[in-house]
Amino acid sequence: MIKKESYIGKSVKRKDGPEKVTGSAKYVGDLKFGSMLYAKILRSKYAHAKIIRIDTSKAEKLPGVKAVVTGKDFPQRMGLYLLDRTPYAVDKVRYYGEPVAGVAAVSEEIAQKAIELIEVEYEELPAVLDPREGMKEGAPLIHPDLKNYEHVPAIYPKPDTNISNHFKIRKGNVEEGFAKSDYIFEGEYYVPQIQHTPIETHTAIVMCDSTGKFTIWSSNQSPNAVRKILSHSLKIPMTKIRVLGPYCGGGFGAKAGVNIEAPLIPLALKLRNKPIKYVTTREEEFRDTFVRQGMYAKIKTGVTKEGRIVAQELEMVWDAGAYNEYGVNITRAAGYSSAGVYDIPYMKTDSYCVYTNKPNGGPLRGFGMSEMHWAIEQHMDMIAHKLGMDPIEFRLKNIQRDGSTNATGQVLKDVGIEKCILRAKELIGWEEIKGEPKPELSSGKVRAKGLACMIKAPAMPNNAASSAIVKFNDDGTVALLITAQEIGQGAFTALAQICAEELGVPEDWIKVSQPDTDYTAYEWQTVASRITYSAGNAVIRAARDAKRQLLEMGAKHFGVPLEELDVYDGYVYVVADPARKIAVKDIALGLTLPDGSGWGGPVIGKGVFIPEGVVSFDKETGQSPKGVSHWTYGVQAVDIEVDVDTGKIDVKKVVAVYDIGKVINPDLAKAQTEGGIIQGLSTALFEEMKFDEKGKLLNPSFVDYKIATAAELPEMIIDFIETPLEDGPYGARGFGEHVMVPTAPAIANALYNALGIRINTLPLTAEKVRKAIKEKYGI
Amino acid sequence: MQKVDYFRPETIEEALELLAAGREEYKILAGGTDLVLHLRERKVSPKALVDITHISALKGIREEEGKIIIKAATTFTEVASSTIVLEKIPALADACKVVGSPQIRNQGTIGGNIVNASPAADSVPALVLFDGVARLTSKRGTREILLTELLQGVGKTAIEPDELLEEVILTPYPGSVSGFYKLGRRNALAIARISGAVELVFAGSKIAKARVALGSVAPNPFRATELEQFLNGREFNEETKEELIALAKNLVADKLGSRASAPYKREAIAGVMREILNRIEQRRGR
Ligand SMILES: Cc1cc2nc3c(=O)[nH]c(=O)nc-3n(C[C@H](O)[C@H](O)[C@H](O)COP(=O)(O)OP(=O)(O)OC[C@H]3O[C@@H](n4cnc5c(N)ncnc54)[C@H](O)[C@@H]3O)c2cc1C
Repeated sequence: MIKKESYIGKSVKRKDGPEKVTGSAKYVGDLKFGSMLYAKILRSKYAHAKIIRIDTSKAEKLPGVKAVVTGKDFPQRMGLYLLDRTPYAVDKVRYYGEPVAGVAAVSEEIAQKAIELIEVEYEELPAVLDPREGMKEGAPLIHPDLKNYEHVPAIYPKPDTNISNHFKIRKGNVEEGFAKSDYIFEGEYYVPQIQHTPIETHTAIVMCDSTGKFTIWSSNQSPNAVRKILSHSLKIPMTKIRVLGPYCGGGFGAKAGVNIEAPLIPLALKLRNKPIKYVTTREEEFRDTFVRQGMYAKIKTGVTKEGRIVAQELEMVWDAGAYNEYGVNITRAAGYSSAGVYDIPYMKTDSYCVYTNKPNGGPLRGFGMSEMHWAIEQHMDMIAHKLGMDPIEFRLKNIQRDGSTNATGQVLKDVGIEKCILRAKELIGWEEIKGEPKPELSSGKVRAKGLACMIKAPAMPNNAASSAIVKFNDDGTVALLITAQEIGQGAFTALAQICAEELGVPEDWIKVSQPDTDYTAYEWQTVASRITYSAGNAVIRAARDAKRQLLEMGAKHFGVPLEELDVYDGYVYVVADPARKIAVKDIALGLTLPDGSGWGGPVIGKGVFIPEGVVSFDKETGQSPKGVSHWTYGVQAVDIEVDVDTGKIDVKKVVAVYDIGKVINPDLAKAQTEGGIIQGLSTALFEEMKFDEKGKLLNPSFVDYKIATAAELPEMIIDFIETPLEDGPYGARGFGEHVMVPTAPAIANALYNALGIRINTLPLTAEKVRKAIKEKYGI
Repeated sequence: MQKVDYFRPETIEEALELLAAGREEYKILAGGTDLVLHLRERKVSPKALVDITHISALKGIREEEGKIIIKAATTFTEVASSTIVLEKIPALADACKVVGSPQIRNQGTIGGNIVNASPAADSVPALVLFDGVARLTSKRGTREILLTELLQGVGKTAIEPDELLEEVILTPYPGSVSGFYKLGRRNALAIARISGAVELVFAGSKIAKARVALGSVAPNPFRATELEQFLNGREFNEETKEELIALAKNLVADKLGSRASAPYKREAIAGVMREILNRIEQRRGR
């Protein structure tokens, strides 16, 4: 017998590591072509205004300028879930920063000069900056034509309002639930819009050749979605659009869907055979790509004397910005996840996606979960304190377990949250908390612990598909053709491990392709923490298909039944007699029979995956027996020190425990978690997009918008629980976004445990903390 | 960025020659961590830059008859790791260690920090603390001027266009213990919202002599003489610390008046003072 070593659960080194550390990896910004042109975009100086007149004549006359375009050149609406967005503003602008005109020129400098020569006359309109005002009757309408916009069936825009989606949960009669409760607790929470801040700003090169075929190189998470959206709006077949994804320097959701590719399309249509490059400036990155939506939450919770939650009513109002083509689904995801990790018999949730005259809301690592858990997890702690219960004890009474139902009425199984909580409790060294904190203020510093839980499902259409092609080379090495993008998360490595495991060849024989929609296998998008899960399943199937072909040739070669053979370490061998083996390289392109004739052919395996049995939510109640493919649970516990005088929070330690079903690559899973903790900590303490009263973003730079640095790093203790997922590869669950979700509420809960102050608006700045201390203690 | 000429003298004399010839239109370039930004933003548009970082006579730290002399083109990294500084004037090491990021500390110089005259310049409170004197040289001759007189408001100094800041001369009290602390919006790459530096000489349990300087609460860092007078002769105990903190709060409130940052800073100064005193306490034991 051969003793096989498994690649699953091994910290295989990153596939993209050597290229990245040597500088060999190519990003879109590195690409240069002959006769390349450079684009610049003129952007709106008003949050909401009619465009009266655009005069581009001076810009057009500037030597070196090749084309100038405006909204009228390409007025088609596009979008992922709701087609509400045009590449350039048509007739009116809806946020400060919206593209109004584009220029392609022989250099960036000339393009910039040309932009400055374009004259635009506006008539200012009243702006909607607060979604709570925007959803009221009589508010200025940002999209008067909303009722005519195309959209997917799963979202519900309200015509003649600013509400682009209203997702509802009606689980039982919530009033009945409140009637059965002994206490009712209410709370309000708020998160501002924030930015992803990837190191690489959005960059794209678009070219339309003389036959009308588009080639697009883009730092993007969604090559297939880009192709689909553009094909739909250009009304050309997909064979006429090729999207390539070189390495992507950080996505975090910002590079999902169509972004800056769109404004280059009308330019490319005018300038055949000219690759047009656009590199977003940092200022544009902050304001003019996706941002995380702001959100106002109101929660009302009914609880029994014993501390059992009976009913929850939750209203979430999302500050979704000028175009909600993607954001509508965030609202939906928060809606169907609105029980959090709790088993709540009676629920009513209203999640409203509201247009505002602000930057476009879109996916940001967590897809609504960070925002929603900021509210729910603080609220749970607040209730525990009011009941005089330890926050963990209160949670253990109420969390989901096998057989519980969630917000959508789904009966849950393989629920690992209890294990996560207990492990985190142990790792942080939790001491029971009962009653109000009594801090010792005189030393100037107060230390305390806090905890928060989270849940997330991949947010995607029910039929979001993955596929993979496994293609053997002459020497037995393997090309794995997929369209998943390596955005730093380690997808290529995990998928190569899976592929090698199934094929029985060494992992370093696998070369993972970069996306090229003309040649690589379909992938819905690299989002939703779904690649290891969904593409992983497709890779398993593709590899098994290829392996079967190897075995068939082996069977013919050895003259034994296929079932008696296996592949390992690059050989097809007879299990009962491993000395009888043939190298994969000798059969990769087909078998040569003893008489010299050929048999079989090059080995190519294909595999596809769609999560099965995902059923749409009911429009009125949001109920579904299985509305999402699966859930991933996790917990973070933090230990913080607060400076009483300065209000500064110093996060000393963060414990993170996630149930990810199966850890495919421990180092990568850990690194992913560390990155998420830092990002979560950053949003907790620093991040906030600030606007003036006219809707102009005030801090579009790293000087004025602070993110955490290495100097804020806490000690991080990370552990995983493995409750296998029925249809996950080796049991693996989706994992990636989850890691930043509970950090902020855990810190806020620790702040309460330290000083008895609760700050319900992000971020927890030193000023806010200081002010709250002063209000409570008068010092 | 506009086009500018660039000179790289290797001696002070050559530099002075260039500055005299260039009149007001040449600008000294040290680490460039302020100046290059100003060039980009077109806040300044000199005809030429005179790079002084290759003049070896402008680098280094030495001790002479109780005075510590720091050459202007010495970087923050060099200052923060100097044994003389660490032993004799640790407040300055504290300050240089928290400037920007490692890259900025390797590039930025003490001279540039002074001449840039930012209210939040990190090294300046610690330099002012030790009665820092600037030595200015030009073809016309050399003069010495107290840093507190050299600095004339936000971005303003008494340096003439043909003058080079050659060195700063510090006079710590013999046997003193000192410390500096800066409060920024985050732990690295953040300008000081408030900073402070304190130097104490102990006589038994009492404070024999004291100096205190504050940053980011006025146009330039300054010596808080009221706090110094209060400390002189006091017991170094909790009561004194709390009283000092109370006085510091009042002082900051006075300085900031009705500025938007006042309500926060006048309270947060307490935490800054506490941290400085902790550092002094720890160092005193050694
Ligand atoms: C990212 C970043 C972070 C920063 N963080 C901090 C921080 O945390 N704390 C802080 O205090 N500062 C910070 N700074 C500002 C800057 O680094 C410091 O002020 C630094 O000391 C400037 O020194 P320099 O050598 O780079 O000066 P330069 O930029 O070369 O010069 C600054 C000015 O001084 C003049 N000058 C320089 N040397 C002399 C001389 N010998 N004689 C006469 N004139 C001279 C120049 O002509 C110029 O006007 C930061 C800057 C950046 C870009």
